[in-house]
Amino acid sequence: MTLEANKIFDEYVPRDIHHVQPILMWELEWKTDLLNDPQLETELAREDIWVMESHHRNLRGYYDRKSSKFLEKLAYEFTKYKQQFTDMVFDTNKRTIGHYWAKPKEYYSGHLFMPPIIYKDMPTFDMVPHIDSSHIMIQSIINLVDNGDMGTEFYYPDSHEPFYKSIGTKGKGGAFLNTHASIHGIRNITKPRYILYVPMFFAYQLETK
Amino acid sequence: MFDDLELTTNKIYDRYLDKDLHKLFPQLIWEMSLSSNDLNSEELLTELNREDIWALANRGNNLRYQYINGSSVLLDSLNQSFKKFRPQLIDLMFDTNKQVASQAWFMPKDHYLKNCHIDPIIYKDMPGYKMSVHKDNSHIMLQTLFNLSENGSMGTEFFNSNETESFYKGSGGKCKGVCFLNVGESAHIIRDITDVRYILYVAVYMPTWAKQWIGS
Repeated sequence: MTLEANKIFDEYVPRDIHHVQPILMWELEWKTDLLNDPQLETELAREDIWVMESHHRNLRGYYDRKSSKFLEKLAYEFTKYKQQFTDMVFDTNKRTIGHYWAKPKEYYSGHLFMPPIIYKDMPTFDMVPHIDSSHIMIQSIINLVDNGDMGTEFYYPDSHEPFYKSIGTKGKGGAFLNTHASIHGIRNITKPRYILYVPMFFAYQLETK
Repeated sequence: MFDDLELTTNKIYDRYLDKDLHKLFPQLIWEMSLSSNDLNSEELLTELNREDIWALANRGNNLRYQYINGSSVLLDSLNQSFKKFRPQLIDLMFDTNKQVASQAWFMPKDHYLKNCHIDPIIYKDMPGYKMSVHKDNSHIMLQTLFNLSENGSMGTEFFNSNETESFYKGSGGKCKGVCFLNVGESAHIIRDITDVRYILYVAVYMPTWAKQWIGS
């Protein structure tokens, strides 16, 4: 089982003359026998394991933890890459990461939380271009089935046209540092899309309270 | 000391930039002022002018000094007294534009009221001190700066990321200050420090992690 990360963007938004809006993104490929196991599609197709989210018009459902042993294992396996993600974040571009998470990598290690979430997105599900919560350090997405051209799209602040669309191939996906420029959206979902969605949060102690 | 410390706020920017086609985060900036008899006292200036209460802060170009907590009763009292404004600052963040707050920090306001912390710091910036255009790090939710001395035209300036000229400069008037939400277009700069500048710098920091943030 391996996770390959290939950096594809390490730059600033065009016209960002002060260099305060960095983009740092990777393409991912997760190689694991779990993705080739016939159980994967069987389990994903179950109707009794999804909790549909009303704030997403009941068109996005998250896998209800512990309702499928196989998916539980799949999700757990991905969390083993926490150190790899930590290294990716802190070692790729120290200037950029320093602007967002200013302390040394060692300070954060041991306080990072990476909860895996499996989503089922139904046809017509969409999310307008947005930036993730400031609690999130890095966000990663892996396609659990062949999701065709239904990848997440990334935008510059001053353009309605995406500059990049993440790959939809099973086992592949992307990761991005959550910055002022990590604007992304989802649209054109034409059939059920299954993804593994893994944000990495930081948990720190109140040192000065 | 500083029992009568009061904080007043006046929102001056709550707008999306034209170039922000996706309406991601508005600029949210407030002018602020502090009032207290102790802020106008001779003793405050006497204490700020002491040489034995400052330590090099290792920021910018090594011309910023940080007050050493515990070395002045009066300045300790100011820092302590300011902490009572923590709920007011969090209210400001979450009640001014609820959409912004919930997008940037997704827990209910009560969670932040309970867990956010503030850490008032007094800085002495020496002539020549500067910080290039930057945004604050992700630990910071809201940032406030107050002039503890008459700081003239040495206020913090704010920029849009695609413009070379600042669109706003904070007041340098004593007891005046500026506050901004650390999301979206909050780039700012410190430059043209020609005299010694004393400021009170107070950030509202993100709280500690709580497992209930992930429902599933």
